[in-house]
Amino acid sequence: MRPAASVIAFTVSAGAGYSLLALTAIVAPFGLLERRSPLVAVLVGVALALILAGLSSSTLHLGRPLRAWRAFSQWRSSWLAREGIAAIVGLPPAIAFGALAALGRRPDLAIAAGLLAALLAVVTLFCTATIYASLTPIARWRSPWTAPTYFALALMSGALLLAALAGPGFGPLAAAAIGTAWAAKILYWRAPGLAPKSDALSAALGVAPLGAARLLWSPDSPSAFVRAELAAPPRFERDRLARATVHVALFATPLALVLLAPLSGALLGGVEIWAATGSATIGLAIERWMFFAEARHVCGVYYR
Amino acid sequence: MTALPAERPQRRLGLLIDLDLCVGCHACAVACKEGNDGGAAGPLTDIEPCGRAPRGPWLCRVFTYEAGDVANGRTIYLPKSCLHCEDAQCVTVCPTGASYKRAEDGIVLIEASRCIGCKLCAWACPYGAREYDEAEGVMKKCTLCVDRIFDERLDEAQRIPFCVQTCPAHARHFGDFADPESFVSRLAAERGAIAPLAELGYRPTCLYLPPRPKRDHAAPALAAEAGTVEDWLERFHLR
Repeated sequence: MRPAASVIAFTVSAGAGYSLLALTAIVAPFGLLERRSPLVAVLVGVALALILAGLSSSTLHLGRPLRAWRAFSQWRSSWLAREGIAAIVGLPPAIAFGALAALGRRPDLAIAAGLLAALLAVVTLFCTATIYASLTPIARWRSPWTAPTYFALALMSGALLLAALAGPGFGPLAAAAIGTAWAAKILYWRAPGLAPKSDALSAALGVAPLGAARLLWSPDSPSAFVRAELAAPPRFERDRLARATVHVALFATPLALVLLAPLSGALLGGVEIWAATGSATIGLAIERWMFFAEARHVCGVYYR
Repeated sequence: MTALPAERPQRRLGLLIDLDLCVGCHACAVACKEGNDGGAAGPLTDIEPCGRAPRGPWLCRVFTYEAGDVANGRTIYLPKSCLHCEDAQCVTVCPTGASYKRAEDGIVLIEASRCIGCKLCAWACPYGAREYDEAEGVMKKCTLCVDRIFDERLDEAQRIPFCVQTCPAHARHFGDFADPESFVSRLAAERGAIAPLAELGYRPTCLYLPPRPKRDHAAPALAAEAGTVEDWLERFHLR
C-alpha cells in the first residue's frame, strides 16, 4: 500500500489529540477543576488544535475536498462515514469542556461535557482503526492487533503530551502507555498475515495443472493508480533495520527519557519529557509510514 | 445508498470471459477506453500519456501471463475489469453514497457527482478494478456500459458492452447470470467457469472460462518402413 502523507499526518495528529482530550477529561475531575483552570483549558485547546489539524490534513487526501460533507451520510455501512460523524459530533462537547474549564464555572457540567467528549474521542479512534482492520483484501490489516495497536499508540502519544504539558506527575502514566503500545506493536508484527491469504492466481486462471503463472506483461505503467497505490511491492516487510528504527525512536528512547525524568532536576526532567514526545512523534510518523508500506493488497497477485 | 440491495437482484448482468479464446489483442481495453470516454463513465483523462509517468483510468486492462514449463507451457491473457460482485465491499465502505449496486440488475456504479475521491473503495476491492481519475478527482470503474446496454435507440444486437462487441476472438460474452437458461449461464456451467479469488467471499458476478487442456500435438509416428519416394522425402523434410 502506498503511504499517503496526508493520512499519516491525520492519524498521528488526530490520534494524539483525541487521546489527550480523553485523558484530560478523565483526570480533570481529580482536582484540576476546583478553581479556574487554565491548565485544563490549555490541554483541551492543544487537543482540539491537533484534532482539527489532523482532520484538515485528512481532507487533503480527497480528490474532491469540498464534497467532504457528503461523507457523513452512509453511517449504516461505512466505517469512514461513522468516523466522520463521531469526529464532528465530538467537537461541541470538547469545546464546551474547554470553555467551562477556562471560565471556572459549573464544574459538574464541565465534567459531564468532558466525559462525553472523551467517549466520542474513543469512538472516533475505534472507527479510524476499524476502517483499516475491516478491509478484507489487506491481510496484514485484518489482524486482530490492528485496532488495539492503533488505540495504544494514540493513548501513548496523548499521555506523553499530558506529561509534557501538565507536569511530570503523569510520567508513570506515559511510561505505562509506552509499554502497552510497544507490546501491542510487537504482537501486530508477530501475528500471521504477511502473506495474502489468497495467492492463487494460477487457480483463478484455471491453469493449476500446468504450474505457476508468471506475469509477462503488465497492462499498466508503474505510475498507474492501481499499480502504484495497491500493487507496488511492499517495502520494509520484515526489514529489521526499519523495525529497529521504530523500536528505538517510538518506544525505547521515549520510555528511557520518561523514566529518567523523575531522577533529573525539574528543568532537565521537563526537557526530557518534551524530548520523549518529540522522538515519539517522529517514531510514530515512521511507524505509520511502515504500516502502509509493509501491507500487501491482494490484487498484487495479478502483478506477480 | 451504499448498503447492498436487501434482496438478491432479479437479474445479475455480467461478463463471461473465455481465457481459452482470448488472444491478448487489447481491443476490448481500447474499445472500452474510447467508448466510455464519454457517457456514464467519462471522461477518462490520461495524465502525461506520452510522458515519464503515464497514468489515467482504464476500465478494462489485459494482463499477459506465461504458465507452466517449457514443454507444457502456454501464454494466457487475462482481461480484467469490474466483476460486479454480489458482496461488493467497494460499495459498503463508501462514505458518501456515491458507490451503489443496482437492485434491478446488480450493476455496481459510481455517481461521480457524489464521489469525494477518498479511494477507500479501491482499497476494499480485491481485484484492483477501481481506478482513481486524477484529472476529475473521483473514482472510475466499469459500468458494464450501462448507458449502452439499455439504449433502445440502438439495434438490439448492439445493446452489449463495447468490450463484448469489439472482441474479434469472441472471447467475451454478456448476459444474465440469474437466468439458468441464458447463454452465459449454460456456457459457464458447461465449461466450469471460475470466480477468481473466490475464497475472499465477494461472490463476483462476472466469471472466467478456464483455458482448456492442451491437445496432444506430438507428431504421429511415421511408418517404420519407407514406402515411396514421397514418404522418404517427407521424413527428410521433417528433420
